[in-house]
Amino acid sequence: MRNAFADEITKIGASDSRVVVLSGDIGNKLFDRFKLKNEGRFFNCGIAEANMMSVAAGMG
Amino acid sequence: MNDLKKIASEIRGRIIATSHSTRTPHLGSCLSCTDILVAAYFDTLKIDPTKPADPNRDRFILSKGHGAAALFQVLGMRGFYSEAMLESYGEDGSLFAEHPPTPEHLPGIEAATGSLGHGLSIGLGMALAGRIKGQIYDVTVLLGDGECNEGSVWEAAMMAPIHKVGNLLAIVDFNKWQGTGRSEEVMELGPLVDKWRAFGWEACEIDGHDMGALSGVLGQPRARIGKPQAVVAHTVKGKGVSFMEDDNNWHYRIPDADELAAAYRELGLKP
Repeated sequence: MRNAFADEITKIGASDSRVVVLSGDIGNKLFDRFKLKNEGRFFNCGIAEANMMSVAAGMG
Repeated sequence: MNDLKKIASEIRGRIIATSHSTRTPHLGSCLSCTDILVAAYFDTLKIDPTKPADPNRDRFILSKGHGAAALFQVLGMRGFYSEAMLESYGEDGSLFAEHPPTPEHLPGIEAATGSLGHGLSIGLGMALAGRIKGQIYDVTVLLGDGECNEGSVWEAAMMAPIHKVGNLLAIVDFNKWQGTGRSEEVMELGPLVDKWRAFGWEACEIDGHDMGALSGVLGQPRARIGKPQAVVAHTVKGKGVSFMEDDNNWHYRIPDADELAAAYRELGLKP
């Protein structure tokens, strides 16, 4: 299921430059393709979810 | 500088008067950051009150959202909305209460803060978004010292330097008190400037009531790519009125008419 998510968000991200992915250090290589196709719009926020949520809020 | 000091006295008067008439607390917390807000909004922020949604505007986040009573007066005087709107303060359904409303409700508000520990993360997100979109703006976040108890503050402090957001500045209103007692008794912060520096920030400390120092540090041009800045501003809770200074009763206490009149006299304001 997480692969399906990664595939889908990679496609959406490629066609909509507003899409940014924040991850809490999950998934070995899961977002590699997203990072390749959507440079500058991926941030691994580490295992720090509270910060990650509010960083997302600030980006909205 | 004298103009800024006069504005700050006027703002203090309005904060105290409104606290009295609407029974809104957090007076001490509002008075300690008044000078920071005045330096920012009347001197250093690159903003246009007629264009509150300008994508290239500087962002200021009041992470210590209980200082809203101060922010509301500053935004009103600065022209983000008519000062007449503040007459509804404290009424049922008013936009003006103890904490900022969500941004779409009031021009000039960048985040609905009040729950502590989120503003620095929000500011970091704004700084990163600006970079993605190729927009040039500075982000300034005002935190409380009690707020620095929040783990999420330090999560943001860890992440910001990694991304070299040189346009992000965190300023701590270090008034030495928090909700129920002195910060050093409730949760000693230790060497606060050293902590920020150890996290990778360009850190300094100043007198948070020195307008020249505030304008200097807040107004300095920031690098697009570089260390984010942390300013520990030493302040006095309740600053500006002798009987309110450094007295934590004024965290929640509402001034009565006599106290309001005395405050006005000290601030050099006509009632």
